[in-house]
Amino acid sequence: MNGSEDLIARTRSGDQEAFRLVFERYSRPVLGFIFEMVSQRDIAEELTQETFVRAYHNLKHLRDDSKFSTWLFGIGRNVAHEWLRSRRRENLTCTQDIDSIQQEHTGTIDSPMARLLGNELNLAMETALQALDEEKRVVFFLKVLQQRSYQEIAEITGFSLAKVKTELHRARLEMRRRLRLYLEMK
Amino acid sequence: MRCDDCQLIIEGYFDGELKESTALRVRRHLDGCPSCSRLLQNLTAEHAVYVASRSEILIRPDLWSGVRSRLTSEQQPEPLGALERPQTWLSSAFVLPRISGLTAVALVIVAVGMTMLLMRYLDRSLGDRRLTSVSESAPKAASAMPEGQAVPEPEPLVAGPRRSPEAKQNTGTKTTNESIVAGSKLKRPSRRFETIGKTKTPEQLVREAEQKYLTAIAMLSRTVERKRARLDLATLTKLEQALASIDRTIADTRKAVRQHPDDPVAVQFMLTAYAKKVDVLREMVDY
Repeated sequence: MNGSEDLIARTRSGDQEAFRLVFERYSRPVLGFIFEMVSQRDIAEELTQETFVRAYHNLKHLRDDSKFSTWLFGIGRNVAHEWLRSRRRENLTCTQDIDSIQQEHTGTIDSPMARLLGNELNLAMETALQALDEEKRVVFFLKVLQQRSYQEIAEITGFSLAKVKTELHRARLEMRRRLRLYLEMK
Repeated sequence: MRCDDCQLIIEGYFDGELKESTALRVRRHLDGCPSCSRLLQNLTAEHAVYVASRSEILIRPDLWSGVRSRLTSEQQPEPLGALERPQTWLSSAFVLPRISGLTAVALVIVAVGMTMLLMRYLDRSLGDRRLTSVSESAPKAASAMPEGQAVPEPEPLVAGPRRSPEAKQNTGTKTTNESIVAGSKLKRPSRRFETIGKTKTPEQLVREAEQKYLTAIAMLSRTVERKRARLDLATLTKLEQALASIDRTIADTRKAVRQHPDDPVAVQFMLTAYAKKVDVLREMVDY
């Protein structure tokens, strides 16, 4: 049996192979989530590793194994926030304007997402996402691209349910406005 | 239900977040309202575009090995983390006194000294390994050589006193066996290791050198930070670009060192990247 809850129980009892399976299952969405926050692939990978290391060490504090995924994303969010804060202290924030993102996606600069996303719509989507402020981007990503419930998003982000709904609504409006041309074509 | 009410909660309906009774009322309204139905269709179409336009992010195979090695290493005290926890940085910011650029330079010199010492050892260690492998393969090579022909002497891998041409001439006719003996004489990594650091492992030395660089970088960064307001925009942009590029290199090389802690080339690259960052920051301090 390799259900998440079973894997978590096995990990808790020291089975590292079980944790590897947990990693296989969740590393992709966690990496995607952290990438949305930090916008740099190599940093997102390091932070994803940090997230799983912390999760492993703190598994004993997880009360409800069925909420592992939400708990893990919460750790990922904290890890990414800590990194963002440390960057801000160095006055080297990773917030990018649209021009710089577009420049990245032209392929002249090291652009991890450009390697992953191929066509114009991908680029437009990523540009529009990056143009959202962090709270909207995270909520939008978790709801639309990760299919999380409002309640789960609230638990991951620490926002109230009302704030989740508001941010999601505003994010959708902004995305619609930015991608209007593409959406109309479809 | 009126259109206004429906439009307020139609996203919740689309997201499946409404209570069953409310969802039923919305559904009934939609059945009889083309305008609100179109809204729902638009939401559905948008969602399809968003989902379709996102490629699955790829996971590099070595990502797990990084986690595993960290789990293993962090069981020991004071791990060499890929990522210094921000709390550590924060606490060090308060603990470290604000000291002059001269002290930072002194620290850099210490770090560079340690690096050179370490590199010298690692080079020797690598050289010994190569010599060992050469000496192991020598008999095979010698057997392939015509009888009486000398085996070419390997180029010295470690800087040391060079032999005179006469001495070389004398050794030019040395037999294969003598070469093997010479190789075995050089093969003393453990003793050299002991003389460099009686109680320190290469990993500890690397860690210490890295720590010195990080301390110097932290101090120089603070000085640069204070100067930042006086810098013109073009210089500031160049500085940030250079630092961002070096930071990427540092991250990459640290990753490589974590994956191959015994690879002296990886260690050398990593420490060079740190040294580069120190250089850039020092230039900015002197600017």
